[in-house]
Amino acid sequence: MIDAERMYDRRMEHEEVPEQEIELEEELLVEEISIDGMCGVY
Amino acid sequence: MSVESLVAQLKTGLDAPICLTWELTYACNLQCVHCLSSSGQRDERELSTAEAKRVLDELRDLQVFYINIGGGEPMVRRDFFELVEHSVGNGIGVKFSTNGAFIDAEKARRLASMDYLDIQISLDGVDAAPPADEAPADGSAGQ
Amino acid sequence: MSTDLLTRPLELHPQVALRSEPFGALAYHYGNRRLVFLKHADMVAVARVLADHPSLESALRASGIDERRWPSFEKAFDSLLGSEIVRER
Repeated sequence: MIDAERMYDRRMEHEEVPEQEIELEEELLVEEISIDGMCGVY
Repeated sequence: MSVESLVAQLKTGLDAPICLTWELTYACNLQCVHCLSSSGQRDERELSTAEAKRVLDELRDLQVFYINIGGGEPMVRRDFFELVEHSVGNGIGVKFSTNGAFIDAEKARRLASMDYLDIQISLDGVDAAPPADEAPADGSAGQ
Repeated sequence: MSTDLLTRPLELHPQVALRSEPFGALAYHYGNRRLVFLKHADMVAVARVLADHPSLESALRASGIDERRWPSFEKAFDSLLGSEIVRER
C-alpha cells in the first residue's frame, strides 16, 4: 500500500523537465480498452 | 514527464472494479445440463432485497460502472425489477442474462423503457451439439 | 485529424462518468459503453474544465499545460472526440 502511495505522489509532482524531453516525448495520453465480453455470464 | 504503459500503470490496480458479475439467485425454472452455475435450486442463503440493495449502494459509492446479473434465472426473483431499478437509478448500468421465459409483452416494455439496460437471452439450438470427434463437413479435419 | 481542434469549444459528453484512479482516470460512456483510460493527471484536469472554456486551447492554457505538449493533448482529445467521450458544444 505504501509503495502505491509513493508512486502516486511521484506521478502527481510537477517536476522541472529538460527541454529536450518535452520535444522528444510523444505522450499517449488516452487509451481505449475493449471490455466487450470481459464481464459476464456465458 | 513520460506516460508509462498501461501495464506499468496498472501494477497498483484500480481503485474500484469497472464491472461486476453477480449471480443473484440459483433458483431457475430450468435445469440446463450445460449450466455453468449448475443452477435450478434456490440457495436459502441468497441475499434479501434489503441486503442486495445495500450491496448496490456500496457499488454506487465505489463508482462501479455496471453490473452483469446472472444466476440461476434472475427474473425468478420477485424483487428483480426493484433491484434493477435501484441499480440503474443509482448510476449503475445493468446487463443481465435470462432464458427469457418470464418476458411477456408488458415486461418487455418495462425493460425497454429503462435507462442503461442490456439483455442477453440464452437460446437453445435445434439439435444436440455434434460429438467432438465427428469430422467437420468442410473436410478440415486433421488441421 | 482536424487542425483547428484547439479553437473548438468542447465538453465531456453528459453520459460520461469520469472516475479518478492513481494513474489519472477512467472515462466510461453509458451510452456507447466505451471505456477509455486517461493516462495522466494533466489530461484529467483539462477534461474536467473543458466546458468552462471557450476553446480547448483556453482550457490547456488555464490548466498550465506547456505549449510544447499541446500536440499530444490535441491528438488525445481528437481521439476522445472519436469515441464520443467529448463532444463539441
